[in-house]
Amino acid sequence: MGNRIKSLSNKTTDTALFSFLKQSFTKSKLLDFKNFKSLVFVAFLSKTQKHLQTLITILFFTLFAIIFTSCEYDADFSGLIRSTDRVEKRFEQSMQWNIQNPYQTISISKEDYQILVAADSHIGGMINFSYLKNLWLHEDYLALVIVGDIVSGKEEDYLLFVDSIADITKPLFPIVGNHDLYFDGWKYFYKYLGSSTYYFIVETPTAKDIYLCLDSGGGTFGKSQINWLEQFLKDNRKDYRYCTIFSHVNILRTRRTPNANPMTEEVVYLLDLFTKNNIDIVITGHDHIQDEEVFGNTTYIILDALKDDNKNAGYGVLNINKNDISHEFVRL
Amino acid sequence: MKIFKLSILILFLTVSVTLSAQFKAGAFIGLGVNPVENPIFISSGIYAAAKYKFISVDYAFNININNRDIRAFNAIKTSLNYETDINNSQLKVGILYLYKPSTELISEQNFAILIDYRINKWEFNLGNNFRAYKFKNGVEDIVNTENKTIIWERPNIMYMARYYFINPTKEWNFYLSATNFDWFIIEQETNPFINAGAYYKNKENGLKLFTDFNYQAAGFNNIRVNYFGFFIRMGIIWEIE
Repeated sequence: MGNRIKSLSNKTTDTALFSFLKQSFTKSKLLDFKNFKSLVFVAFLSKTQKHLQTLITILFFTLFAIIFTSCEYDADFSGLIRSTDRVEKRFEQSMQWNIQNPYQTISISKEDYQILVAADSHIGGMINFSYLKNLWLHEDYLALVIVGDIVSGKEEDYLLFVDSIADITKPLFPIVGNHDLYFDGWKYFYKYLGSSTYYFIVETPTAKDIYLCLDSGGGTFGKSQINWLEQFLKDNRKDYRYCTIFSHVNILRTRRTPNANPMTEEVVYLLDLFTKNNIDIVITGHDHIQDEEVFGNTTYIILDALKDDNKNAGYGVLNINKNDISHEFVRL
Repeated sequence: MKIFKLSILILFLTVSVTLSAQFKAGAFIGLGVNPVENPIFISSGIYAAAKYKFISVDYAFNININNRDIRAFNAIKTSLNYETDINNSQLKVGILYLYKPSTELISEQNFAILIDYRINKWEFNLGNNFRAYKFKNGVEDIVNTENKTIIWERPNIMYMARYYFINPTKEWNFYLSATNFDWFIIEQETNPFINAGAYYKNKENGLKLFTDFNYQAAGFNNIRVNYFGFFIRMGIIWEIE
């Protein structure tokens, strides 16, 4: 190699390069070049093939990780291989929590009411959440439901969220999302916010409405939770006027998205279950851009992400009255 | 019933074409576990294929053995393919239709375009499917049919990369794949699963025994993998030259 460089250094730049490339070319048995450019290109390929392969592999996996990450940053890539929590375990813990902390019934003296709903606040950033918090506090909303990805999963962000709502006495119903589970986040969710599978009831003078909050943070509802849901609806649906389901992961994929929803077997099963039980609205987040599909008896809604820096940041409002349950999207 | 008649027609056409073609026929059984099957699903089915020059047609029919009160007929799949060789590597381009009367109320339909390319010990599939969930006929008492009764998902990428551990010309082989589809399942592009399989092919009598194991995990793209389920299929295929 030393001699080779020495002999090359005695020549002009072009001829030295040409000579070097020609040697490379001879070696790679690709001598049918037509001009200097093709020689350079082919020689470059032959010399760098192994490196290129490595580079392409690295680029491919990097690209894969970026494209297939459901959100832009704050991702815990260990979850691609294994998760520190399981939906079955989370459901079991949620049920234990529910025994200690009974389901809430909110009794009101009027027939009409409104519930604020939001998704994907991804705290750290607090600007948009502070705006929503002010609405929740100062306007006539009965409760706030956040359908997952409340924080980044890190304990400091959980503490930021918990501190920001510490002085509020209005009902808050949080649900776990995939980001809340990152960095071993379930243990903090459970510690600071509690159960992720539960329901609450709103009782007006003439009717009762039920709101089911379900855990789909791992991309599946899991066997135990599905069995619980099926049995619950079978036993109780008839006792309530409107039934709304809140969860994190969107059920349908009617537009192109890199975000994953449940497996097709689970999707079709849920569509069937929701139809049979006259679920009025299914509200999810995860996909970050609002969407609405009415399929049979049920309206499927995806909320805009509330997170800071989202150009379409927004939230939703559920309007309930004697005759109807409806929703509206609000962008900030 | 329409589907049954259609299946018979396809089978008849398949058999007719095979009078002057290569023919394959097979049977298989399957077993699977996932959160929505109680407690497991056990199924069986038949497979038939015919090839005439560059054109091949195949067909598979799957019925449930248990839980037949919920769903007796599980799925039907048929595909039409054009096969050719590029530098001694097999290239197959095909169209596929998969129908699944998945639940009491809803059926799933898939149309797909798929390319299959085999080179040495590798096999690659790439395609696109168009999926619709549709309420079945006769559910007007339960479903508000004034609203949408069919939902088309946006086009979905189908993919498979498979590695054969032994040269594919040998009688025995083992393989490992990463994919998002199987005979009767087409998952969303964001929900890949792992497939491992093996086969033994007796060249003298054309009998091929095969088995496949598929492991499904949810939430891969949400970077929160959770076990979802698995399914196994084993069967026999008779290849008649």
